[in-house]
Amino acid sequence: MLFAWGMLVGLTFLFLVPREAAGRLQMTYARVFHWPLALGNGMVRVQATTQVRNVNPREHEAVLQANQQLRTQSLNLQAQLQEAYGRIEKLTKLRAQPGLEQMQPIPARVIMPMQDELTINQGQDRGVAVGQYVLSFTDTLLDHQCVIGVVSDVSARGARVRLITDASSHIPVTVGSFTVPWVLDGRGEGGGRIANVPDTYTIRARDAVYAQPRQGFLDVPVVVGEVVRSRRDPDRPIVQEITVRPMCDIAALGEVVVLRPVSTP
Amino acid sequence: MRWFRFAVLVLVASLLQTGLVRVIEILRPGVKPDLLLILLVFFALHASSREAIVASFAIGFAADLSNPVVSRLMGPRMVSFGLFGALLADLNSTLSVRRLLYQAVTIFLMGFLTAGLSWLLAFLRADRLSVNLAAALFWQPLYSAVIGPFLFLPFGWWMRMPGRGPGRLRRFRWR
Repeated sequence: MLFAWGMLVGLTFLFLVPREAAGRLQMTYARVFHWPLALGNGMVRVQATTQVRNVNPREHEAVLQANQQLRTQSLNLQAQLQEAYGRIEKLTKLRAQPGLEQMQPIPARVIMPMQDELTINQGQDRGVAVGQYVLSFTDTLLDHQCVIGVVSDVSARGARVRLITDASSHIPVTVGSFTVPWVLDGRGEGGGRIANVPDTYTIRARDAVYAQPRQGFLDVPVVVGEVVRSRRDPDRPIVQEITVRPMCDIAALGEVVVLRPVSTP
Repeated sequence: MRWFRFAVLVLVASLLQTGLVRVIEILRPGVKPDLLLILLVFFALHASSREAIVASFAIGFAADLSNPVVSRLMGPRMVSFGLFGALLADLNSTLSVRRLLYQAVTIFLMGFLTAGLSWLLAFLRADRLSVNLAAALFWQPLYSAVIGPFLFLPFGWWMRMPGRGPGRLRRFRWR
């Protein structure tokens, strides 16, 4: 009779008690006796870590070599990660600029600086297209970034940037607090000029020159350069000719940012 | 039988089985003595038939609680320990297992049978079983059989079982 009761209880546990309830019972046991159980597991770990295993010298050498390779790989990855962090930080600052929320900045390296032209390492694969504005990308604050040119030619993995100083560059700009659109023409030799500015506008040296917003390319005015001097046009005295220089040292740039509209696929 | 001492002994054995016994694992993980199996055989051989049945089911319950065949499942070891413990207690009334070698063989056979039945019963309920059959059916019973008869001495002393205390060591025969 005792045996029958025992079997009944055992079979009830086996077939009728839900597994969740059985699990809770086992967990309760583990919780109530966690201290002696933890002590035992601790001793097992200590024993496991103090076990000495005889290793073949050749195997040991191979393990050491593999370890060295892993360490090298790890250090390289750390360096790459650090650089990526820095890049992300810069991009975060760039995205934080009011008016640039709808633009996706694409960082690119300058791989070939030429006279009034740059070749960068990002192309169609990353969404770079002709006509997009290119900004400087220095370690300084975002306020120091300026438009340096426009993408003029693009391939799958590279693009050419026509700088604002190039003779074939014509960028719509505004000067200082005036909202009148003018055109900044490149002149080569590291500068540009704005022609045909009526004499009625007072333009002073060090006035800022802004790239004018363009639908789909630039949502807010971004500084391009500053006025070096303003003088009357010798041929047409009723208008002024404004000489402009880039706001940043383009020749020293190692990285730039291409502004791509977010909606571009 | 002193049931309080029995409860303490089973509790200590289950705690040791869960934690410390792994320290003396040999050859491969999972090959360790089963203290609760040794206790089962001890009580089946040394307690009265009724006490042995109760003890077998109680030890099986403790085994399900502390060292379940499959997690979140109770019953397989209770049933198998109860069944074979009761059977051994019944056989013990006609067969006397007093020699250490016979005790070791008994522990091995009981280990093999209880492990086999436990796995079969667990198979009925569990969705998936990861079975190390060699360790469960052979190595663990063998390891338990090797050290089990020597543990009968402290068990007998603790349980105050007549004729099994340290003072009666001389009565054990090796052959």
